[in-house]
Amino acid sequence: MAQARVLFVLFLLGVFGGLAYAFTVGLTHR
Amino acid sequence: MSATGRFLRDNGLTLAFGVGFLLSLLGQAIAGHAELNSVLEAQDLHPLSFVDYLFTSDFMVDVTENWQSEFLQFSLYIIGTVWLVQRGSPESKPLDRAGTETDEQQRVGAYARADSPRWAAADGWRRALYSRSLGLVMSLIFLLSWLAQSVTGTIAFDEEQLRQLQEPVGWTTYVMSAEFWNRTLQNWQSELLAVTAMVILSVYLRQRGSPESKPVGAAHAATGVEG
Repeated sequence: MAQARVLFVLFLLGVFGGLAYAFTVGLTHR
Repeated sequence: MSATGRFLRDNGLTLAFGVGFLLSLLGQAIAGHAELNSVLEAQDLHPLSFVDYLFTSDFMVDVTENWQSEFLQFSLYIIGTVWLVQRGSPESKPLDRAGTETDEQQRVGAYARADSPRWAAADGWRRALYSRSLGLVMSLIFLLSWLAQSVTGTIAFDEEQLRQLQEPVGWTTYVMSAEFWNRTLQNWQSELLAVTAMVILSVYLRQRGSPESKPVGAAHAATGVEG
């Protein structure tokens, strides 16, 4: 289960990181 | 079995779809870059490098508009299936279990077991929050993706307007525009169609070995039985 927890955290970091990236791109008008 | 082999087997579903996602995203970036550059070249403008393309709203609006609809689909499905049932579908609960069910059925509070998550046993806001955490996180990703689509969509739309020597529009105008709703609803309709298909086709059709299907020999009328 420790491995699944790593994947769980990686997933959340990836998705929310991706969204933060999208907002950065949009809000800096690129 | 080696440690790596066990890791791959235990997490195959997440890993296979995760790798498929990353490869598809890369493919989308390559195709999207080529498409934007062909538009730029046709208008006698400088093409963008691949890395520059990854930092454009043009790329991000295409990514986020698809994300929002997928997460909307699963959010609606997770929350809708609490109360709505479909006789004969393995995607549905048994007809008499519609609703949020009893604490005993949900193993919360006094009914929590030794191996239950701690917040299932807790009282008050912790249990209330944890009891809704899947729907909340999926809905949050939906809302943020849709908002990101609207922000990056505005920039990409204005870029296009400027290239054609047209007036750029602001965010409030963009979210009421035909372009925004066309992008949004063309994704929603396909997601809702796919969900409808899963629910009703699984009443009569089977996929041997899939937990999304009833066992091949299960009766058409059997509801909430997973293979």
